[in-house]
Amino acid sequence: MTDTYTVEPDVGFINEVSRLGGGDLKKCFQCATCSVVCPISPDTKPFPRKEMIAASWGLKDRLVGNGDVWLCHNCGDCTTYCPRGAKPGDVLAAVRSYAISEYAPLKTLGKWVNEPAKLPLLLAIPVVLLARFISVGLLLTVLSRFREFSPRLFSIMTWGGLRGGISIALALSLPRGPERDIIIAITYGVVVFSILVQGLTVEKVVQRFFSR
Amino acid sequence: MTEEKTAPASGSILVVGGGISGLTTTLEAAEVGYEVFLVEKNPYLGGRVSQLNQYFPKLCPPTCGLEINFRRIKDNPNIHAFTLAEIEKIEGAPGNYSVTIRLQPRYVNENCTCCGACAEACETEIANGFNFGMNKTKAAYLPFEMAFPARYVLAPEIIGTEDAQRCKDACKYDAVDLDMESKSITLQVGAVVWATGWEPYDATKIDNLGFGQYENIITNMMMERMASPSGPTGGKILRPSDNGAPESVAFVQCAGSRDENHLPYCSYICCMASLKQATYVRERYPDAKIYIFYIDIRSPGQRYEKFYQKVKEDENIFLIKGKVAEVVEDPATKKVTVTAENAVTGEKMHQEADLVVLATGMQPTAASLKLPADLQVTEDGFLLNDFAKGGMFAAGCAAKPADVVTSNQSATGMALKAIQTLVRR
Amino acid sequence: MDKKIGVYICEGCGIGEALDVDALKAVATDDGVAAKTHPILCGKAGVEFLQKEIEEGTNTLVIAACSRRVNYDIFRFDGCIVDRVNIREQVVWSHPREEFPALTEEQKGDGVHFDRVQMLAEDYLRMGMAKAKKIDLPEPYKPETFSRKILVIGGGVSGMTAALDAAYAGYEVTIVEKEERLGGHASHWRRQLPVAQPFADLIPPVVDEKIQAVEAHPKISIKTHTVVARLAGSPGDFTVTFKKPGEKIEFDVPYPLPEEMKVDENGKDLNAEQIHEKFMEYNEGRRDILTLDPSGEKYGAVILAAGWRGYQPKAEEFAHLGFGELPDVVTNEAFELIAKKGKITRPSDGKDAKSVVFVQSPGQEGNDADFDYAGAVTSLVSLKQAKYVREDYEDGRAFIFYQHMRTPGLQENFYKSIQQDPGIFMTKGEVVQVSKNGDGMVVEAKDTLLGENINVKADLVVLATGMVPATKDDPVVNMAYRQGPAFRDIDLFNGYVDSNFICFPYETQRTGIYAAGAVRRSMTTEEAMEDATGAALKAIQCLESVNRGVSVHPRSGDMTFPDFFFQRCTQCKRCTEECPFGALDDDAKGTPKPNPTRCRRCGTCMGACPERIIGFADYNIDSIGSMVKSIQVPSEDDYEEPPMRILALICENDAYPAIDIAGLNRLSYSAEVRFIPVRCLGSVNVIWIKDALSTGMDGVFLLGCKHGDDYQCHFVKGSELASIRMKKIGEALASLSLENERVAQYEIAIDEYDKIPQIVNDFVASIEEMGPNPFKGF
Repeated sequence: MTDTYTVEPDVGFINEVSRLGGGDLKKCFQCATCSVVCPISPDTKPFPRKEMIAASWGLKDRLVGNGDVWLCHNCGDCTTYCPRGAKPGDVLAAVRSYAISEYAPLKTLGKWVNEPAKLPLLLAIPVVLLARFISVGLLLTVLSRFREFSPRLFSIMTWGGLRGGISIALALSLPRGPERDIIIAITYGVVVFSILVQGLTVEKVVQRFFSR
Repeated sequence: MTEEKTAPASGSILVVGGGISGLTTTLEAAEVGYEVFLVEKNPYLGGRVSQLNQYFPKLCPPTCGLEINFRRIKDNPNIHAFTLAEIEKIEGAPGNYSVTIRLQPRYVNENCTCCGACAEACETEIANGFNFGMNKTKAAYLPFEMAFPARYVLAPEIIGTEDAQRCKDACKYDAVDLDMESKSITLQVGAVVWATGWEPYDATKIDNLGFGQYENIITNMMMERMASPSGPTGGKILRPSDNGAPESVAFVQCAGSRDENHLPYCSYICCMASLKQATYVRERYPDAKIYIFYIDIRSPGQRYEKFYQKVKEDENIFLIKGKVAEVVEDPATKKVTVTAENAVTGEKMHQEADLVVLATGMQPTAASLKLPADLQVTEDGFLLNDFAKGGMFAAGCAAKPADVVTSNQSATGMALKAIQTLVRR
Repeated sequence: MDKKIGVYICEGCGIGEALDVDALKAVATDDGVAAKTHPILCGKAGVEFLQKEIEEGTNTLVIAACSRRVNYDIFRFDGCIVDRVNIREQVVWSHPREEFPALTEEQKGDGVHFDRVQMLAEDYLRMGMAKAKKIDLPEPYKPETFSRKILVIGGGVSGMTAALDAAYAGYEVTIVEKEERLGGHASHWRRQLPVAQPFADLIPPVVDEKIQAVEAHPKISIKTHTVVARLAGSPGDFTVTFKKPGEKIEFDVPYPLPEEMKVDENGKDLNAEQIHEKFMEYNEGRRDILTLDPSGEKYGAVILAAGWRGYQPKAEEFAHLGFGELPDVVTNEAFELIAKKGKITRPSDGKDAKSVVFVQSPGQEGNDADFDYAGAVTSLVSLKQAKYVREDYEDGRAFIFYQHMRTPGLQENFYKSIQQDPGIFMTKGEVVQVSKNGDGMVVEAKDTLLGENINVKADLVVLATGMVPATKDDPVVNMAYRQGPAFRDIDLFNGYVDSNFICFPYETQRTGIYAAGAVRRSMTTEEAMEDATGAALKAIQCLESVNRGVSVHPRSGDMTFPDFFFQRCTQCKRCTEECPFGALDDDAKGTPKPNPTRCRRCGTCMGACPERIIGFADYNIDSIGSMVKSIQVPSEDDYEEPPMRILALICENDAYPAIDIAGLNRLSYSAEVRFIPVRCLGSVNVIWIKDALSTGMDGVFLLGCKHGDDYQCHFVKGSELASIRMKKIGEALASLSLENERVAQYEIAIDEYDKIPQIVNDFVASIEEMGPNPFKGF
């Protein structure tokens, strides 16, 4: 006989999962429609019905370490067919987000990854850097026919690409709308990152490259 | 029975709908002494319950109670019942309503003796609506054996054709009147009770349960008709694909009820109906395996509980908590495999069955039909009662999903509410 | 009534083609009555013809045509007796000439051949004429005193709703309530379940506004701290004695002697005298039932809305749940009282109850039923009470262990709404054990939806016990009826005062007394209020029916009532005991005292009476007896091999329609059977069977509805009583050297018309095997 599990519901966990997008989780009445329509749910350990009740009961320990949560590929069939509108797909996604922030070494970063407002920002920074790298790289490769460049130049020029007033001005010049707000947010984020992080560290980067 | 009448507003009540609730309201009010007009759109009284084989939990025939009610109607000159009649318009205020009723032609008059000669002569066949299209009937037909009024009907489709003339010629009693026309009458009444009842929810809308796609998936109302001796198979429960005897039957509960995508509420009766139908299957097939897939078994009240416990005792009836959300047909045998997760054991099961019955829910008539009066209707189509205002009331399933006992209680109560409106004018 | 009888034979619907109508007419003329025919009697010309006959003096019409169940309005003539002889469905349609060929000219009168169908039709006509001579038009019974006041027993939500609804319809009402104040259980609730769409949120108890409305209404009078000591009389004329609860007064109703007291110390049965002595002792100080209280109050109808009490578990009953042992395991009723007083705290030490577990089902041996008497109410109540926990404590947690969440119909919305609370946790599961755990408790459950056995720490455990009807403990209504103060046979309903009819929920065994609310079934406030309105209507309907002198359901509108020829009564008391509705009380000598307005006109008394002194104007021993004796029984003097003659007494409610439909479907069966419809098999008097056998008929069978727990009989006991009487008739048959099997009783449901041929033919075959009645021809 298995040991009896002493239940300690964590209401904070429930609220957090709600906040992360699984707001309808308490509507679940355990009909198991989701487990049946899920195209990859196996017969012997079906999901996500059990995950739904674990979430409703705030049983963090039954969810955060649970591998089944990661098998889901967010097709959304369970949400479509759920008779209560409990949106199991969204709940699982929320649990995954929660798990990420639980396991992330930098808790704040983990949290930001989960936030719809902050995630584009986090993504924008490497994207901008990559864009910079590509544009700088292309140019330098073309010009390298005519001149020799140290390969380190690519890295320094990439990292040294600071953004500033012009980007902001361009962002602010966009017509009003929700997209504008997000673009401004991203722009500010990237600008601040480039000035503070890139800017303050470019000296060290150059030193490192040229000290060799 | 069809009379034109204008009654003084002081003493009369209009009941819309001649099902069990409408009949009950009519009879109870008439037996207190009031004049009642009953309007029913079908050519027969009895509504949905006349399509049932038996009631739960006593497993008694609905025609037993209907017979007593029809006898009470026969003995009571206060009651004026109109069949093939619909409400065109109701205007006015509590205590004084002006009602316009449209009477559709039956094409058969009061000379009809139910001899059946017209049906024999008629050659056109039409889908039998009473049996949910599971068989055909002649276009001159008696809706069902104990139909009341006991009079044949000619389907409007054949009017003007040779067939209609054949029916007329076959009738020795001059009962076929091809010249009957639809007409309108106006009544003045003091109060109106809406007993417009329900329709079975359209199961084709539940796309993951295969109704309409796979032959051996039927609804609970179709099962009632099959089990009825007066039904399309003479009371035998058979697989539609090959008319063979099913060795296994799966009941899918909450097919369309308790579902935000379909009917968000619980339809009250389907759990009991499936348990009852399990007894039908057992009576005909002592060894058949019966599977009932449910979310919660609702058998409210002591007597329904006893019935449930009795059905549970059957060794070959299996009750599984887990909703069926997927059905697959084997094209060779036409058997259907239903899939559900047994929520208690935590394992998915794929159960193959010869016949699958979807326990579809009830949708109030007012959900699809706009009633021609100033009524408050909820999103789901149920009529709301405003007792303070009075005048118009909803009884039975027009107000909420309910079983026959509750509908009759509600109908009896609404008779009193209607009387109060007349008294308090 | 001075009768002028006319016989009218319709030739339509195949009758004219199948039968020798002239020979049929001769049957009437042989009896001195002119018979007339018409091609289509139900047509306009036919009805005009009949009306002309009536104008010319005919006032008793024997109409040989279709069934009484059709064309009832066409053949209704005020002031005339109309006797419908069924020669269509029961003769011509069910005995087609293809199977029962007519006689050829040579065959007629040869002493060998006979026309079965013709004989059947002729017998029915004879029977119709014999009956017409013996029946009369009824005179309505008008009681001498008549009260239109309605008594409502119980001042809770149901009682008050019934009273208000009756008052709004213009009737005077008195509410009698045993507690000091109105309100019943609902006054002890913190909040209650919703009573109207959208059924989503808890509301303040509606009881307060009901009390205000009741107290303000001029037509409602209220008696609190009062109970009914005795309810004597009958609908329209009840005399009610009130008293304070616990008081002992001379008009307390006498109680029947308990079974244990009917035997002496050695367990031997006491005789009637001794029982009577003990009965008088047991009820010392109480007036007998026939003495009317001069200061009793008059009422016309009664609504019983006495409500419920919470179920009190017996000792050890829920030991595994800790009830009785652990003070913090309480019933839902007790929990509600705690919640009403203030914040929810533990009974043991008054500390905050922040973790509360609700147990819906006692479980054990895999049983998934809820607690007894729970109905579909306790699931909703647990949801409500779980919400209380959350309202009282921000960090409160409520756990609900259910087997099935019983929130049917629109109550589903309430379930959906309460579910959303983050601090309420629900799962299906069986609670195995509740045990002490330090200061608190731990609840262990298995077979849960979490996929494992779980333990939950609880400060308080609430058992969702049910609503026991007040009538389980106490008659409440205290009828001064010979059959006893309480409703009979309510064990079938676990103590609820319910009707056994799905189609007729209010028709109980006591006319004029209608039950409403939780005394009928576990129900929510919303259901109870609706139920109360219905009961109020039935009470009003009963009053008005009595006022018009007619019966209530199921023979609504029937003006006949049983007449007693007391000179020949032998005080055997069978009618008094067997009446399903307690309509007869008896005096000290044992002579029955009829109470016509309690009567439902079934005729069970008529069937029970061995002296045959009871009868109705249009239905009595003589009318049916004459029908039986008018049946021709051919013997060997008439034919070489005379046909059998079988009498079938059939219930007119279920069996007669089934036979009609069999005819409609052209199902054929033996033509040797003569059907006589009776109001109820309970009204069958054995003299008719003796008459049949002594005239030489070969067999008799009764055909009626199912009896048993799921009885169909609209008069409750009819077919059951008949079957008991048929068993006793075995002795009489033996004394005549006739086989027991010549008399039988069969059950049929109204939709089993397809079984008619088999039942009839099998019986006829069994009689043929036994051979003809030895008394034939004498």
